[in-house]
Amino acid sequence: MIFLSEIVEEIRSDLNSGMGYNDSRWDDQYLETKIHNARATLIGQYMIKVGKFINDAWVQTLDISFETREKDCAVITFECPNVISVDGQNDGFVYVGHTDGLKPFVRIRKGYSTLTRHSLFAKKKEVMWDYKHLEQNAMVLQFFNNTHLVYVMVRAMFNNPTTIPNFDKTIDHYPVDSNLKREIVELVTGDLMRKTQRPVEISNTNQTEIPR
Amino acid sequence: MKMDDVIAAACEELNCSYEANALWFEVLINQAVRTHKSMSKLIEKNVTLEVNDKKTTLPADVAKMIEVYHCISGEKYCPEIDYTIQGDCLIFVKYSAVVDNTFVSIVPDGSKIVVKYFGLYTDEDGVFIVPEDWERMLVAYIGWKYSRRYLKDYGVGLMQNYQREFQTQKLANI
Repeated sequence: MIFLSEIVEEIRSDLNSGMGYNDSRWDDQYLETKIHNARATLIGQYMIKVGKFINDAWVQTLDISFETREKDCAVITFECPNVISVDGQNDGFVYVGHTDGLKPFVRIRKGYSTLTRHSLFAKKKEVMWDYKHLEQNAMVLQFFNNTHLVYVMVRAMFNNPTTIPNFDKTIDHYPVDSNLKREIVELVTGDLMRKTQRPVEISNTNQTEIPR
Repeated sequence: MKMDDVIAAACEELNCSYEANALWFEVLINQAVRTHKSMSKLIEKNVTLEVNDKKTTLPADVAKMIEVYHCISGEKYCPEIDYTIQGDCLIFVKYSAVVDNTFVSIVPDGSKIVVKYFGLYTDEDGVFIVPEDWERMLVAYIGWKYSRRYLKDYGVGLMQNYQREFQTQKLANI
């Protein structure tokens, strides 16, 4: 089990030992945001460069219940946190479907395409879903063709793993494996070190280079 | 074999998401099956249809028409002379008379006709059932189209391999 606080402490410790200055300016919230961003970037890079095998330690499971039911157009809406963008083909959804985890529902759109206009799907009765940004800062999952749907299971890699409902960062494990944790620490530490480098002091000798 | 089985096999082979690609793959399977000029897996079928407004809708599994005749009198109708087919619609174009400047069709509304055709093998809901030995052909077709769409990730070599495999399988299944 790897906790978010462990990663924060490791980064703080690395920065402290490397630079020997007071680290009090890095508050936990800032470092946590850096960690979430680094995680999303590294997973995306991994998928593009190495392959599409998804380590289950990066994935979070969410059982969600419905928010609204629009009877007029037979749509059920579930609120769902942001998922990461993996590459040009996929985003962070690993599974969206039945709560038993064995029956995935089909996604309507992938990017621009809406294949449900094809006559082949005119009589389609299976449950389909779409991921949309309907309101400010609220992403929703919409389900079609089943107005009785109450619970669904979502397995995904979220942008900010702490935003999923009931996530407690003091108890719940942060969705990374040891390798990813090491890479996150290196990336964030390196980034912060670059930002905290003091500018070269200008000496009063004639050797000072004038920038061109 | 269900169409979903072929889609699942293709997703596994291409290492891509089932949820995100199932609809497109279904369209691809449909394309490959419709353009496959083989009679080996087609079965002869009969269906009785009612004509309304000089037309009737054909079943979705029609691959090749054999004949069309009147349900009671047994009178046969000729393609392109008595009727024409547009998409999934059979339209009667021949008229028997003109009454009050209106053409009277040879098949009045409410008439029952029998359509005899070669159709794809389907289940009770009319969903196409994939013959076992077509699986590789269809997976190769999906692989070809998918790798062509994401050429940067899969490379030209792999795309051509899938294309060749599809053509070989297609020849083997004629």
